[in-house]
Amino acid sequence: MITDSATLMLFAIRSAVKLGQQARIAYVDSTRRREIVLPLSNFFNSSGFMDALGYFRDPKFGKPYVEGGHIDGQEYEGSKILQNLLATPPEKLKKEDKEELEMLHVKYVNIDRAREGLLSWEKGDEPIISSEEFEAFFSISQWRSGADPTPSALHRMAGTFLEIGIDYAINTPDLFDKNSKKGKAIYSFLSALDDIDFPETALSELPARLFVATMETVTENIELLSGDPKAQEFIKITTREISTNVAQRINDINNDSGLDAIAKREARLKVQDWGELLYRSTLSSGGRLILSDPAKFLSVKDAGNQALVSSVGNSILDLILEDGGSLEDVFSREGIEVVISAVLRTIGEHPEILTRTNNEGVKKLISGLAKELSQTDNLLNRDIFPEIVRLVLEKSGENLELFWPDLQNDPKKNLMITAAKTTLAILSRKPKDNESWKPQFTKSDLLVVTESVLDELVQNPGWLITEAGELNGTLQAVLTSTIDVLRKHGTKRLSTSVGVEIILEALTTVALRQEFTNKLPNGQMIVSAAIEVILSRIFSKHLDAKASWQLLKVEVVEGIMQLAMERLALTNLDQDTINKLQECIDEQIASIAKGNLFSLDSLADSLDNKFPLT
Amino acid sequence: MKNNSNSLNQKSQIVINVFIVVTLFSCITGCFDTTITSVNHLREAQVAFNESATLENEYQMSTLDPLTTKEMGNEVGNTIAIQNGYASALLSINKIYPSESVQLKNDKILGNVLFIKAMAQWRIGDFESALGTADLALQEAQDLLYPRDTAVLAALPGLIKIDLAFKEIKKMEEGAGGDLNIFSEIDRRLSYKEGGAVNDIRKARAKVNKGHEVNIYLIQAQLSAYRNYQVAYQLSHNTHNPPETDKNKKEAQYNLKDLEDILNVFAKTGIKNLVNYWKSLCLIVPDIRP
Repeated sequence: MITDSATLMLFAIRSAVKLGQQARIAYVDSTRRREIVLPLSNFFNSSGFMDALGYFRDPKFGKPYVEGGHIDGQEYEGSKILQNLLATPPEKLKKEDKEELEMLHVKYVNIDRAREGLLSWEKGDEPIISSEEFEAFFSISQWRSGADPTPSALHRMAGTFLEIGIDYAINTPDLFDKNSKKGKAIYSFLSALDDIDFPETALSELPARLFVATMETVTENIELLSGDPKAQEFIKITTREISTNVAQRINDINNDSGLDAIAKREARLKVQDWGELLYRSTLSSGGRLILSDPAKFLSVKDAGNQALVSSVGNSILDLILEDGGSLEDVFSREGIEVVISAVLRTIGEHPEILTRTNNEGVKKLISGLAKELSQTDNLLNRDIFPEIVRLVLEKSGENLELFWPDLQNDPKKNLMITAAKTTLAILSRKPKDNESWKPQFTKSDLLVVTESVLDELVQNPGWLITEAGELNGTLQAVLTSTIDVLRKHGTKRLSTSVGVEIILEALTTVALRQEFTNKLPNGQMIVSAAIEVILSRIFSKHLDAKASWQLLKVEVVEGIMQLAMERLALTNLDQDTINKLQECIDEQIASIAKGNLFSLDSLADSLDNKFPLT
Repeated sequence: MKNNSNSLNQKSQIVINVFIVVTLFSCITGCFDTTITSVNHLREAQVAFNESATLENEYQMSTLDPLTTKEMGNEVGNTIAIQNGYASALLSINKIYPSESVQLKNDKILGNVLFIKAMAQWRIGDFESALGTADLALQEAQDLLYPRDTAVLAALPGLIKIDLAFKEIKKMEEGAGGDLNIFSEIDRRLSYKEGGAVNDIRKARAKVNKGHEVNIYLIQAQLSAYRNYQVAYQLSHNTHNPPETDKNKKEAQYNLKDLEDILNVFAKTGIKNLVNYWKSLCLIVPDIRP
């Protein structure tokens, strides 16, 4: 294995030079063998009245219709009209006679066609053959099939692959032994490329880049080296589908008359960069998952009959390249792997996400989510966005009918997106000037809370979703009121991690009893009132120093919060409850101030006294 | 393995990707800048030529129904578009030939260049130049002419004769009909005999394998020659069609059978319709060559 950066660089340079030369030659070859449409000379291409006469005079054609007779076993009576017309010397036929003759010609030719099965009454006015079929008669290749002496583009590149491979194999000898596990993986890659008909465009370095990518990725991912035929099939399918997608895009770019040469080169490089990234990510992230259940991932087909794994890779590639480039900045290699894994897992369980949405479900969900998150500062970035996509997909899969109700018609309408967006927006809200707690939630903080929210949605959808199947205001109210309390009473001593725990506790608490969302006479939600009682006491500026020393510890704050909420869940949950909680906390603080040790057990006893169990 | 080299692999991976892209970009642009331009011009010419040829063929016979097809001469606007395409192909060729002859020879595409040039000259009506270019191709690029191009250039004199005959027959239509001398001259130009278009194209077909796809085109060219002959016959024989004993007609029937056979080899869709088109238009039936 090459481990030295300098050696790697030199290897890359040598490879690139070889490829450049071969790519040029392949380009010239493809020009030489290109199909040319050959035009016919000018000729009389339509039938006139002389042809009509000829038709009706000829016993092999229309004469039986004139005099009566048999054609292909069918008997026809003679036509007096035709007999009269044909009996008249041609130079004496009037204009209307000629027109009638031509009409009868059309009529009887159609009878011939119907008898020969060349007319379909169902087709109506449709052309006899399609324009593509017609063009195929005149689009002629240089050599007949199998006689082309020049190597195909792939064969020419394969020669260079061989040279590159030899260089690489010096350091990793078993990479090209077809019987070795690594060799089988590389073989799958090459056999996939062999099936692809690369369009006649300026040949890119894509095949070589993917070759290097394959060599590197398979050595990093042991599951692809199992020698399992399914692993090889996976490599083959991934190679084929992503290469075909990228090759088609390159062809479209080259044919785009709106781009100049420089813009075309840049566009091609961009497509290849992303294609390579998707390819590596799919092999890396998809490998283990797919091999865990190859029947599911390799055989499930989407609406266009692509294998699932390739459909997902191509959907994401299309999304990145098509959405005006807006998603380019939010996907790193790691991010794409996260998304691909999540998408594969979810769609593996629910292939209808692809089939019912004509492959658009995943794309629309991701672009819909991006759009929602773009409305909040700093949420649409590569740190957080892929993980949010993963969460939304995975949780949606828990109950597709509920959370993704209109999959077929409106795939971007997804309750998990709404919940994620609500949560993140609340957490990311900029603090007001008069608020004392101004946390900087990290990516993991945001994700932990979001995941918890989405989990609650899965576990307890009832308290969050209306009869109409939309999110009610409960989630927003709980989060907002909790954050407001934290911001109001928290100090610098309240770390963001503790703040996150308190938020999570609030969610769990409300899940215990819906009555926690009821409001006190002052309009405040009971759950946030309870949290406020605790925080306002513990983080008070006037808190006794001894109490401050014992209470302002992470595990203590979390413990108090959890214990209090669990105990409150067993009460009537009214103003009296809040008052008693306040008394309880005050008593504990007073006890500490007198020199006693605080413990959660003593708090529990105090709560039991205040709220005796019946 | 994975743990030890992960960070190095990531770093070197980025380095490789950037380096391959940048270096390859430089190599390719460095190589392409001076020499790939000529190939690109040829490709431009091929595209322009193909577009015009496609249009022309479509207007001639895309309905595959001679009873409903209008003759091209009536569609003036389309003719201009078609001519512009051929002219554009010639412009592209003129940018590289003769100035880049050496490079074209080195790239082995000189034959392709001269082929497109000759064909485009033919279609814009510059018959003398077209024949001159075809001769030049044989002199300068004989080793660089490949099967399709070789056969079609060999057929070019016959293809031009068909066009010239068409012009003459149009004059017959316009009132010069009945003149057997004119018909005799047209017969000579289009005939299956030595010096006739059908014979020229038969010789061209002999230059390629019988299974080569170009035969589909060349046989139809022969049938178009017969069609023009047939119309000339009708005009000069009081609307009568060539009789069954007419040797040009017999040859056309053998060619129609050849067309049917080769279409079956290539398994193209619409075979019956194409064969039926020529059958209806020319009032011939496929017949096996003795």
